[in-house]
Amino acid sequence: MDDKKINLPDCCVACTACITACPVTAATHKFRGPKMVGPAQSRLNFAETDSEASLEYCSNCKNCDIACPSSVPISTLNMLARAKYYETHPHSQRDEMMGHPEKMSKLVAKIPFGAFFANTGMSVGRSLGIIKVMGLADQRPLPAYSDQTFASLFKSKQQPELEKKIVFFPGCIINYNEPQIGLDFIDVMNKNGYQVIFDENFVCCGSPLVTTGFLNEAKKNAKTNTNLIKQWVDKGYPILTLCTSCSLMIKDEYQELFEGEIPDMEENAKHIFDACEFLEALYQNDQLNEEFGEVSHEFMYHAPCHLRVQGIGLPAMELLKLVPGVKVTDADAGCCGISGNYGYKAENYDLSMKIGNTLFDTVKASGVDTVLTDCGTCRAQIEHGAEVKTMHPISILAKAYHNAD
Amino acid sequence: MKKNDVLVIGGGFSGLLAAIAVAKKGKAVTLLRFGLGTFEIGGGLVDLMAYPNDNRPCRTPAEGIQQLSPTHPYSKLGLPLIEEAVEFFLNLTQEAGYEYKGSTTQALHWVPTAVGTMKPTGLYSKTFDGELLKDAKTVYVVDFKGLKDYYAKMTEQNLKKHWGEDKDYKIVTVDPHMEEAIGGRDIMTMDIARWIDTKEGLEECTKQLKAVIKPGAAIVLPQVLGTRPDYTPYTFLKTELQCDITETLCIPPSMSGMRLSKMLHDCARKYGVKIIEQAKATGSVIRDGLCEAVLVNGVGKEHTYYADHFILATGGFYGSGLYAPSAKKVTEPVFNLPVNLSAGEETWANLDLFSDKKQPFAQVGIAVDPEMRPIDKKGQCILKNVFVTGRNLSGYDFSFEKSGNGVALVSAYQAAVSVLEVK
Repeated sequence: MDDKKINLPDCCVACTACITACPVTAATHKFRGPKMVGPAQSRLNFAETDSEASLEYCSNCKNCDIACPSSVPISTLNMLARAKYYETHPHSQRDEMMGHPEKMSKLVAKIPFGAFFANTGMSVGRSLGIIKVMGLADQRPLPAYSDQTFASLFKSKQQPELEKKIVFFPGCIINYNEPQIGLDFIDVMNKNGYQVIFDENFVCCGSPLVTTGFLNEAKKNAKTNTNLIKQWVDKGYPILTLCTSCSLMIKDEYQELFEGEIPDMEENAKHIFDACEFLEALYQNDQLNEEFGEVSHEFMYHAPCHLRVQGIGLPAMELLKLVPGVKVTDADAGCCGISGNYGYKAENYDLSMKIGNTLFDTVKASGVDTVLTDCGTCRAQIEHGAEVKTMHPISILAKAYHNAD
Repeated sequence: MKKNDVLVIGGGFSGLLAAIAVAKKGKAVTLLRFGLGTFEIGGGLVDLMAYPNDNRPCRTPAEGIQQLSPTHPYSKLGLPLIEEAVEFFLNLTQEAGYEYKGSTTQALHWVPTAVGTMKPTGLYSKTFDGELLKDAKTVYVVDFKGLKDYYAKMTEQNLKKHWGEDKDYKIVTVDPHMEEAIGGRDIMTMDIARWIDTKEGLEECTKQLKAVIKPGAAIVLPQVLGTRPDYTPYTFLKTELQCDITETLCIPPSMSGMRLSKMLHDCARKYGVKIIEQAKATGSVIRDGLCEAVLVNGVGKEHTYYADHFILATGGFYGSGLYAPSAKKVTEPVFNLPVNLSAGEETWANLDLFSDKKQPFAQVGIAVDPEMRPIDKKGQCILKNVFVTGRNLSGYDFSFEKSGNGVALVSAYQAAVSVLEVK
């Protein structure tokens, strides 16, 4: 009941609900578990040298936070402890890279045919064993770069001039890896009478920086984004994202991590929506364009953990049910195991696959060929682990509107 | 604005049951959940009533219930409804393939604890059965190598005290091969139960026990027979060893609580209950004695949930359904319902820790009418479409009486009946 965003560890009554919900605890005995590493360790963390050796096992998936009846932000306590550790310890070269996907992507995007060379380089690198040497899991594909970024595609995208407007926060995955989803999103918003504004000045939300312990850099990004969002909010425009980790970061984790350090975060959060959350709110208010054409297909839906922790239910499921022909089941099979960059680290590969196993088995048993999910790294993990195609739910909505035309 | 038939606030034992009961009758139900409830800490047994007024146990739950004061929730609900609710729950467990046993009219069912003492309960899964120790000539107390906070010797000593020295007691240790955990987070019953969830784990555990255990004995195990509502490990072990088996009540996290939690979650989903996780209700919109909507302080922004009926199952102090902002005040945050707390803090606690009197502070809560609607001091209904269940209710000390999940079950059932009856 504490009003502070970062609730005190002493609110933990040691009920152990988080331990039962933690997917990492289920997959390895080496992790001491959220209760011990989060609130218990936070109470003891008074000396600089105090650090919990198994802290690195936390994937920041937030299932502990979902399980906690006492509002303790357990995963964020872990991330703060990790940042503290890296204040006095050097980062590995691998973590430098994993923490800065935007830096890497920008580099690739600047070079002519950069995506082609980078994608080729990744497969060459894999065959030469470089991926492994870098400390990356060489068993799984690295996210491929798109030959055009969303930013460049947006410029040539035709949109009608509409009175109502929303501002799109693309995030790294939509911008550099899966820009088509962003284009589908524009179509869906246009169909609902919203013109999409794209602000090129947005930077990476900071999620990968936080999980790799670059808290100061994450704070810089938070300041930049918060300032930009504030300007759009002042104009009365909602901010929408297509990535549940981005939306969680800019809505909630900014406040947990930087409360009192950056102004306007709390007010901004009231205007930040996950794309499906926004559309479902339109539906609840009888304002959604429900002229969907038929999409005859059976899907399974996977709810990303970073969506589940947002307290908005599963808006994509509610929307998909409105599309004629769509048959969709919620997998309800827990964490996929990737948790952003966590599963890409060589030492976490087996763990990551073990965590995702329940989901993979559920998908395989269902017999569907496509899984829908709102998170980019979840999509990569499910494709790899369950050997099916994946799509963002927004692309199904775009298709349904298209089929009605 | 779209509207639910029923909004259940709280996803613990009581909230889930209420949601299932109304959803089963075809109502559109949304359930707001904040945390996992008390399954992990409270366990999976459904205590009905064991100590109605002092430290002498009643013979059957029904007999105990009849001795209660008129302000006790059970007295308002009445024995016929209590029996109906028990029937509803037992049917639910049967339907889910993880059948519970027990009734209000059979003698109290006693279950061994981790330290070998006996505790009474009402409804229970087949894996908890202290009675089988009565006729056993040989009792095997099973320990697991590295299992934290489990002292088989103490269990053995206390069982001897209770069941007599003339039986043959033996301690058997199973090695779950979890060396990497020892000295780290240590091994919990949950780790062993997850091992036994797997085919290899179950077979290995059985093999090790088979090597030392002779058929026809009674086996006392920590709570390790799987994390899922599934009797496979229990039946396999029982058949292979040809022995009677009981689990003991252990420290959290409780495996029987996890099993019950999973069973009710799956059941709620099966009947189409829409579950919103991480949704903390913080207020409500009231007009003319009726609730129109409940406000949820979601991540970043407030959400409004409209419904015809509302069931408040937010779990008392533990689930922050009741909140003490200062030492002199207790509030109910969602509807701001009156909480009956006697004046003068010197009356709140019975300082004699092991006395045979209930604790006044434990009985603090919300007063309701027989429909489970909140009432004021004069007994007048405050909100006609709001129904209160579980630990938010006043007038009972679940810990003393051993009545926690029982009151949660029956009040949830009554709330569902009320919702379905109100036009």
